[in-house]
Amino acid sequence: MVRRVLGALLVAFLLVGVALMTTHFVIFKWTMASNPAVKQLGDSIVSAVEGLDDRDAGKYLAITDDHWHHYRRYVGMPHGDLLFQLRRVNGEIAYRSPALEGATLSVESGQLAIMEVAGGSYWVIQTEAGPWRLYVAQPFVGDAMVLRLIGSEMLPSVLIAFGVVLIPLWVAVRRGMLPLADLAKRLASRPAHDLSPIDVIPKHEELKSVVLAFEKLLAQLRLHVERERAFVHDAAHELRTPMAAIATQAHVLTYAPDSLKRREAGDALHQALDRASHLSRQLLDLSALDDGHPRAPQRLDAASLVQQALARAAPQAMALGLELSLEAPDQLPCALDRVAFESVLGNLLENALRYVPAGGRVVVSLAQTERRLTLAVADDGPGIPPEARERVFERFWRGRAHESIPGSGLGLAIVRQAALRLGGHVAIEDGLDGRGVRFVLQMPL
Amino acid sequence: MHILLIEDDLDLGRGLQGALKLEGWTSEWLRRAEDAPRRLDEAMVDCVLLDLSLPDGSGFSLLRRWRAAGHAVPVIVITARTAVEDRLCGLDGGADDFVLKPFHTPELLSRIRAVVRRSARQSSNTWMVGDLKVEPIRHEASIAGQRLDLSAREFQLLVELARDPGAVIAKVRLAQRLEPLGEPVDFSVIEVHVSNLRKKIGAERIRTVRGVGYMLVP
Repeated sequence: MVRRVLGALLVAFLLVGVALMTTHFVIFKWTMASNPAVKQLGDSIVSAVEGLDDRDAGKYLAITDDHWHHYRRYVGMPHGDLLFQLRRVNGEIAYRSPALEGATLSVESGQLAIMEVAGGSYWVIQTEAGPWRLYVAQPFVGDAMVLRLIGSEMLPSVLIAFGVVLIPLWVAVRRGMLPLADLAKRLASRPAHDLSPIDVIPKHEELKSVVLAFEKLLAQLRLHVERERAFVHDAAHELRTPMAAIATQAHVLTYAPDSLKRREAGDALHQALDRASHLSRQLLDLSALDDGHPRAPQRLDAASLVQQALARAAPQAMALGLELSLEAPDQLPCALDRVAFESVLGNLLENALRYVPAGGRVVVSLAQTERRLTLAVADDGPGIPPEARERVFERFWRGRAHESIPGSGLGLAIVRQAALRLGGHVAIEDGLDGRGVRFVLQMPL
Repeated sequence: MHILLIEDDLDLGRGLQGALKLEGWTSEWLRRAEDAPRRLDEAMVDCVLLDLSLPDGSGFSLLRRWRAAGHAVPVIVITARTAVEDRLCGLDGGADDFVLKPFHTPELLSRIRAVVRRSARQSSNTWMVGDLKVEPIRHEASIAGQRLDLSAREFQLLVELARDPGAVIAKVRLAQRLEPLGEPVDFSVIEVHVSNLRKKIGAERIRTVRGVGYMLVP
């Protein structure tokens, strides 16, 4: 945290420094090109000597020269002296800085030029007024030196500003982090199994959204755990009955006095085992559909899938005396979660084969309309009364009318779960010829 | 008949060996994938019962390796894993059939018989379905010694149905299998051929499941 704030601030000030230096440098360059200070100085001196004679003008120049010599030393300018040369327009020289050592300054009027004179580089400018031409030479300073000068002038103020900004920023950040640390402490001190709401509403807007998202997650988890617990409880309860039946029949089988009784007990044992294994299989299916990881849709031909599923079920349907048929296009290419789709079809078929009495009909249909796929399984069996049509999808719920027919009460719960995973839903309608039942899966493609 | 059993659970393995013995079959029981033979001696093993969740690796890889090596010995996969996905995976991976734990022993035995029969039928020259005799290699079929005069398509259709009498063969399967004779086959063409075949061998021998497919009555 400390490092991040410091780092960001440093970068910001570095950027500010670079921007300021660039601005100053550009302004300097521009002034040198348009109206440099040395020209203004020249103008003011030459206008001061305009009405003077040679002697007085020379004296004035000598005093000015001396004044600048001392001034520049006094303020600590490191780059030598200003040089002056005053002459009449006709060429007679009235004053020349001693440092020039007899050299002559000569440039075009009004132009800033760079000249090598008296062992150094100078910017030289010429100004004139009345009979006088004044040459002023200022020691030349290169770009790198200009930048260095600008930099050394700015550094102290930038450093002061850095300190001044850092302190309030530091305080704000520390105070801003406090509620977060507080929240973290609260969360860390909760026991692992505690899924109760956090029940803190922080003042800061940003933190509020974090806490709300967290509360939502907790609520989902609570629901999930609750469902899981209920499911495990129900599943264990449902398994008890077939297990008890198995134990009883095994006992009979062991102690039965004659072979007929043993045979009966053996058959009953197998039936109870069937029931238990069917139930455990369906529990596995359901938990696989429940795990909340949707599989990627797979490209396949739904018509061929349904046709082959029906082909597998058909011999059993024939043996039960049912007439099974399919109404579907020859092909229906689409992309869907194959496992979920086969779960829906398989369980609906299994239901139909289980509840429709001999001589009945089971008609499966598959159709595509626009972007929807419709799979329906209809029969002319006993049907489901309207008031029970919502409840049949509940786990372990079984209709009163079918107590003699074995079943886990999970088939339709699996159907509903698989339909959800396919992004669709299952509805119950009246079946064939106003009798029986028709399950319709509608899903988007 | 000799069965190779690959199953790691002691109780189940012992029980299965007992059940196979009661049936009069011999068996060899292995408990780890690494003990399984890399090559299956097809003359010695009639059927393999393969558990998918072996302690030292998946039975799937074993199955794939055998199939990749071209072994056609029928394999029945046994698993306690979740139903549908494994079944799809196993059938695509070359299993002949699939049995979920817990299973009914008589059902397992009848499935063993079915896959062995099917596999024997594949390799034999003469298939009998009641009094219907089909000889795929010689391209001949007869009923009670009476030779049938079938077109190439009708004969092929009969072969496909006779491969697995009593099973309903989906139209889409038939279309796939008849394809090699030339032009793609659509379902209405199959219906025409079936109706012609019915006239020649007797309508009652082929049952229709409307919209689904056909079954040769065993």
